[in-house]
Amino acid sequence: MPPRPKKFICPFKLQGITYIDYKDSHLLSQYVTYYRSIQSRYHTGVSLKMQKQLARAIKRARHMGLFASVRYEDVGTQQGAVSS
Amino acid sequence: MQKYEVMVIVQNDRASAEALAFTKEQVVKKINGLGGKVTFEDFWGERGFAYKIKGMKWGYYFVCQFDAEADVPKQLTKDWNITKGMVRFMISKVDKKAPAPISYADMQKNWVKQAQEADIAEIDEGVKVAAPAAPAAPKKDAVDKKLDAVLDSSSVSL
Repeated sequence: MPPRPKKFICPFKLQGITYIDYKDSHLLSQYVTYYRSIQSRYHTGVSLKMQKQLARAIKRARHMGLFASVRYEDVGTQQGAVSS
Repeated sequence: MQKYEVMVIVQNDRASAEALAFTKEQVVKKINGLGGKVTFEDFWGERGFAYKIKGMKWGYYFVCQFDAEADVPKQLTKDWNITKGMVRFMISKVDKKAPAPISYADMQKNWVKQAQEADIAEIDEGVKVAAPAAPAAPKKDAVDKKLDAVLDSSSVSL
């Protein structure tokens, strides 16, 4: 039998965060993969309640162009600042 | 009455002051005209997109919160869908748990603070790791003394 994965504590509970804002792209960027897909709960240890909030926030940020849904090398960075 | 938040992207074919005037006219005035009450306003200024939107790489962002009846967002979306210069917008309900809104400038300051704190934590760990490596050196003296003792003793003839 392989060893059971470690029990995680929700990182938002540790930080005292109860609401995830879609404008806070710095926070959201910690919960996506290299290719900008949403990290699964299995890997981050986020509770189900917060994962639902997190997914909604990321999807809203994607709609408003604050956040990429796919990683492209030439179309600017995630944090913006491409203005010319 | 329900609390709503709206985020608007204004087209980048105008100056920053004109974009601000555009939002005042098209967003704040229209909400007030429909019987809503604007409680928070924040003009972000120009910001790059994460991907191209309608061929553009950047635009002007504007965020505001307002209290209004349930039919107001419907009328606003009807209006804004046919407004020129409005690249994209999103109206969302404000959660009851949501804290008081903060400006984009304050948010950026928080991000810088968090990054600095993370750096400091790493440096502290580095110091802790590096410290025990130094006292390993004095072992050489002990070895030298032993060597001298062996060389001085009469049992070794060079």
